[in-house]
Amino acid sequence: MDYTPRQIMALVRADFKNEVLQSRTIWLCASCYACTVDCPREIRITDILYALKQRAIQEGVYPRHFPIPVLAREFAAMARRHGRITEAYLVLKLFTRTNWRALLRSWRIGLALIRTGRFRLRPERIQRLDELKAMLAATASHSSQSSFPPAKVT
Amino acid sequence: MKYPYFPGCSLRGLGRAYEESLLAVLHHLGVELQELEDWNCCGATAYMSVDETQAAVLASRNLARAERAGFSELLAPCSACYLVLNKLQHSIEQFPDIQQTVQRALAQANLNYRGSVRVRHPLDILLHEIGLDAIRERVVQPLRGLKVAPYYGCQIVRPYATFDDAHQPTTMDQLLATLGAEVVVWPLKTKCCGGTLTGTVPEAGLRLSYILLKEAQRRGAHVLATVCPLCHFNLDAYHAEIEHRWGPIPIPTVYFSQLMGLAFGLAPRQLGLHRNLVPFRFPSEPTVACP
Ligand code: SF4
Repeated sequence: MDYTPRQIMALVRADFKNEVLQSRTIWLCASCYACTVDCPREIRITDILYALKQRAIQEGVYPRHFPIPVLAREFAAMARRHGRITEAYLVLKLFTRTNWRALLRSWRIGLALIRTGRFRLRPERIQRLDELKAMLAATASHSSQSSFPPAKVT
Repeated sequence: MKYPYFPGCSLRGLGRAYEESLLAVLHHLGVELQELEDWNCCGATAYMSVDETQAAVLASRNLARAERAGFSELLAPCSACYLVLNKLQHSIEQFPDIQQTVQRALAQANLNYRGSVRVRHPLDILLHEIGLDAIRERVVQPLRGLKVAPYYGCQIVRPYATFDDAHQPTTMDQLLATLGAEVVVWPLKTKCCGGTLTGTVPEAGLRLSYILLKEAQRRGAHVLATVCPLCHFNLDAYHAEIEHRWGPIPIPTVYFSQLMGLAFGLAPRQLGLHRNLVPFRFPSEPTVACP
């Protein structure tokens, strides 16, 4: 973690855009919302970090070989393409894109999950894919509206 | 009783045992589930990190389809699905521009959403609709002597504490006590398991899961009860890796619904207990050991 979440909030308010968008911190947020419900100033930290992640991806400035944004993008691509996630393929994609050695280290878990029927290898997809595609196509990219700092920071 | 049901991707994959056990115990209680037809991925935390508008649109198809099917409620057992659908419902009510964007996208698919679907969690249904008395009546093998750490995780009580307290939830505690189990005092009930960080940044993610197991062990728990397929995956599938890093912690993690099923006298296999990588056994007798 290059900055703490508090530092990220302060950097956003002081307009340190590049530092924030290129940081690893925003990606390390697991979206557990602990900070959001506890913040005495009612800052919606989790949602702000989401907004920063989105902005970093939009501008293509996220840390390239950091597995977290890679996973997020692969997840979104699979959801768009098939309407559902097949976890086994998502994990495979993630490891081949970021870290081959992790894949080799995890073969034991993979086999155990196949043995217990939890890694299903038949790709899942919805029936009315064209319906979903039409909906997503009608969703204009929000890049024109986004501002820095995100409007949610008070 | 019949409930509209949104399984989500995980309950068809890594979390199969959650679906198997939940369906079995609800059936046992006289509740049937009707699966939302042609549901799609909720988007989870990942899609929200990429594009907020598209994430809302993706999730909205499910609420719109549910409404069109005449459902006023939707049962979402997976914590991520539960939160995403709930959050969308909140955003649509609160922010007219999100509602507009969603409606515009839905119109492309000849769908429409008036905003009438209430998203519910199994614990909510079990405690507030079915009731502990009805559950107690079904208990034939009380879980006496079993010490359980109730693990709620993050997204079902935060940020919207719709049916339980955000800091000190008790619904699962009450349920487990009704089954005859001993609920251990364990202050990590709603702490984060690491989410997908266990796979992407293991140094950070696995440590969070380790802390949960370690504290459960210190408090004398035999087993951790969870409500979330991702928590279960981290605590069960990465268990060997956690022990490899930090030493032995012989604590399995199961779904609360699996413990319900055992107390109801259902077969472990019917509850998907054979899918656990860390086998669950009763502390004294090995009667519920799986093949
Ligand atoms: S949501 Fe959780 S992981 Fe993210 S910044 Fe807040 S406390 Fe940290």
